Parts: sequence; structure tokens; C-alpha cells
Amino acid sequence: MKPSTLRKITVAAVFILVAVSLATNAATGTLSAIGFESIALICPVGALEVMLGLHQFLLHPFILLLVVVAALLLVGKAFCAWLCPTPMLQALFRPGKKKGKKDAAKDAGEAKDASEPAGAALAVDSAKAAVALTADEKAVLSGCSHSCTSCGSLAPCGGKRDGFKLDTRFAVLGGALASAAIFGFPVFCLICPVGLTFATFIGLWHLFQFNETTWGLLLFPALLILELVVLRKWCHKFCPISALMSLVSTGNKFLKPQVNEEKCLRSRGIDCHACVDACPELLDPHMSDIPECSKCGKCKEVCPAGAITFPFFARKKAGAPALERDKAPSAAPAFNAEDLDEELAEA
Amino acid sequence: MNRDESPSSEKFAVSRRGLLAGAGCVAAMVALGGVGTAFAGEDTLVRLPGGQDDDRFLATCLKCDKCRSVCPQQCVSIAALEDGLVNMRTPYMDFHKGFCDFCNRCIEVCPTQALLPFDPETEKLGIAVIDEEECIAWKQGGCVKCVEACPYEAIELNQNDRPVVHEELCNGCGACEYACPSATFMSYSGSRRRGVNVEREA
Repeated sequence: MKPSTLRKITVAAVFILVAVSLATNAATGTLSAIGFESIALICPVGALEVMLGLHQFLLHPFILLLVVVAALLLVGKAFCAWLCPTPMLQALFRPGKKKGKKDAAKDAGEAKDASEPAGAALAVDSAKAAVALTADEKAVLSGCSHSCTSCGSLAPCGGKRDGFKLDTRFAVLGGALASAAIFGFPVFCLICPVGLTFATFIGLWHLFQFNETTWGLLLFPALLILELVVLRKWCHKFCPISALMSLVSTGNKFLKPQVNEEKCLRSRGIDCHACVDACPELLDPHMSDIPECSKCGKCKEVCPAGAITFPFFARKKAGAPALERDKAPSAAPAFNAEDLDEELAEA
Repeated sequence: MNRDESPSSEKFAVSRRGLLAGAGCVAAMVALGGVGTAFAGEDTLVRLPGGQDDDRFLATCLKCDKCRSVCPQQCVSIAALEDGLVNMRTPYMDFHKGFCDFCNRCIEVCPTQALLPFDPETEKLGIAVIDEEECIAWKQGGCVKCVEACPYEAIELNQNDRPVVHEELCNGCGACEYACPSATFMSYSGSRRRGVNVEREA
């Protein structure tokens, strides 16, 4: 099953859990704190707001916060792609863009099918289907039929949001926490798109179950539309939950995208950047320092060469650092002595 | 730019434009807190067991909906926008749907300790108040539903057979309000209030 389909299922599963909570006494909760009994995946921003708002340390939310930190170290920011309803709501409000993305993925998928045989000619054809080649690149291709670094393999092109960057999300996070401490209630919850989504869901449920009408049923969706449609880049620019998770996910070592450089078209000198273009977080899966990665699997889905995998634990970014250092020092990540040692050992 | 030379400075480099945008975001969040406080709403909602300290409760409730869901008596409702910006989406006791038997399930499932351990012998959710305008016994006589419903014998009939509440015996469980038939028998009045209502202690 395609990762994008799986993601829709997991996000839908969250709504089903909330519906179960509404229909029965299961108390599974919403994404503010979802789980069973007193064990729950708590919203990390909410947990901090609670303690700051109360000016008091609370053991239970603190333990749940540690569970969230452990989950972040284990699976990175998978929450953003696999549980948060926001990206899918955005796609719902902007169907035009979604369709465009789908088509691109479909094209890439066709190219991927064509590239299964190992023949160089076929690989070149598939590359043509995936990306338009310049005359220079065609010249390179005609002279080279297999991957080798000597005939123009290209360095990773890099993504806009590679690495850890202090951006406006952290200002929203700082402001939200400060505001909670000043005013004594979880301020960000008022406008949190995740909270508002479930508030709308619960509001609609009550409307049909108890005939309860409230202005909130108009205000919550209106705020949601304002945040997700007017402030289109909510996730990248404003979301404080994303900011807090990025702080922790810099330490995430598992389930990171791994590019097989032998298969990657760039090693054959083809300037393919389908993975970078498809990444909703604007990352380059060739890079090792991508704390924003939400493990959505989009790059794996679109890669025309099928070069990208998400192994549970990859010992190092095979090949990529060497290429970066050899060919394009400007794009190289911070020098890592361990990587060099391992490469020397292999050689 | 070569990251090898200045990895840390680039990581935390913030442009002037970024700094202004950041300041704007912080200001917006603080302003949001101010707006919330300005339209916080009145503190008239009867809270769940252990949530009687309103400042503490409103600081710690994350609106996760667990307590409302778990309540076996279905007597927890969710406050609406009309109840104020800080009150909105927080749970409160709705004795039109059921009454509290102090099973502690809501306290157990709360992930943020917004509900503290509660002793129904010494603590009160609120106090039942007879509304003489709505009460069938006070208006016409004959009804003893609340007296029968009270598990604590906190409501008695006076010499005129009108119900009166013994405040020291009442802990606000809501059994009387749940049992009160005034809104049904006198539905022509259009009132949402019943003949006896649990209200917060002043």
C-alpha cells in the first residue's frame, strides 16, 4: 500500500478513536491527550502550558511528556504526517494543489515502473520521463551507462528546510508559553488547529446527538480556515507543536530516509530532484541532518529509481557524504570524523 | 555559504526580517492571552469533582474530552463559546443528563491533574438551590421528587410541604436537579431552569 494511502488511514483512525470516545465511555480522548485511561500521548505544548500556567510542577503530565519525548526520539516528527489532521484539511481546502501533486506523483510512479529493468537505456528513458534533461546531461548520459563518480555524478541539491533552523515557529512557541505563564491558562489551545478540528468534530456530534447549537460551530471552522487557507504555511511558519517537536527530533536516529546512491539517478549525472520537489517539508532525503522529516514516505513514493528506503536504523548515510565532499564542498554538511573513519575502514 | 566553517552560527542565524516576524508572533500570542482573559466568561459553571479551584482547573484543563467520555452517569457537558473564551470547551456538570455518584473515573483519566482527589463527605461540587419560581411544590404543591431523590437526606419538606435544602448536608451531587420534573410538567413556560438547581458556592 502506498504511504499516502496508509497516512489517510492513520489520520482517519484518530477520528474513529475520537468517535469511539464520543459514542462510548472508552475515554480515548482527542489529540490533546489520546490514549487509554490515564496513559495518553499528551500534546507537548499543552503539557508545558499547563505547568507554566499553574506555576507548578505536575508529575503526571511530566511523565506523559517524557513518553512523548521518547516517541519523538524513536520516530521523529511522524506525528505531522501520520496523526495530525491539519495537512489533510489543507489539502481538502485546496483541492487544486492536491490534484497537481497527485499527477506529479503518478507520472513519477509510471517512470518508476519503467525503470525496473537494470538496462541503462531504460533507466535513461525513465529519467527523461521524470525530469527534462539538458543537452549537457544528455551528452554525459550517452557516454556513461552505469553509476560511477568519475563521469559527472551530481551532489545532492539540498532542501530549503534541511538542518535545524530557528524560525517564526519558535517565536510562536515562546510567545504561547510566556502567554500561558502570564494569563494562567493554555492560551495556544484557543487557536490550535488540531484542537479546533476536534472541537468542530465534537460540536457537530453534539449538534446531532443532543441538538445543541453554539456559535462555536461557526467560529471554530472559521478560525481553522483562516489559519490553514489564509496563513497557508501554518505548519512551516507558525505551528508551535512542530517547533517543539523539532527541538527533540534533532536527536532522532531511526526511520530516516536512506538514499541508495548506486540507484539514485544523480549518481549517473541526471539532475533528478523528484524527492526534493515532492517533500512536503521541503527537505532533501540525501541529507543526514533533517530533523523536520515527518517520515511521510512521499520521497520514497516518487523516486523514479526506487532508491529511497526508510530503514529502522541506518548506520550512516552511505555514499552521500563522500560525494558531497568530493564534488560540492559548498553543499557538504558539517564534517564528521566518524563517517570518514568508517569510510577509510571500508576502503 | 560553507556550513563547515560556521555550523552553529548558521543554525541560529536570524535575519532582521525574521526577528521582526518573530516579535510579531510573540506579541500576537500575548495579545491572544489578553483577549482570552478579557472575554474569559463568568465563573458560574459547576465543575467536576476536584476541579472546584477555578484558577487551577482552567490553567490545567487541556480540553481532551476524556472526563466527559468516561463519565458513567453522562453528567459531564462541554462548555460552549457562549460561556466565554477561557471556559469554552472545558467540562462542567450538567445535571439535566445525569447526576454524580462520585465514582472518581473522571479524576482517574485526567492526564493533567486538573481534577484533584475528591472526598464527597467533606467537599462539595456546589449546593442545590430551590427556585421557587420554577418548583412545582412551591407553585402548586404535591411534588416530592427531589426529596425522594436526594441520597443525603439534604432536602426536606417544611410545614407547608414545600422542599427546603439543608446546605450542610448537600454536596451538590445533582440527584435532585436530575429528578426534578418541573421543566417537563411546566414546559409551557419555556424555561431551561428546573425547580431545584445545583449552583456553585459563592
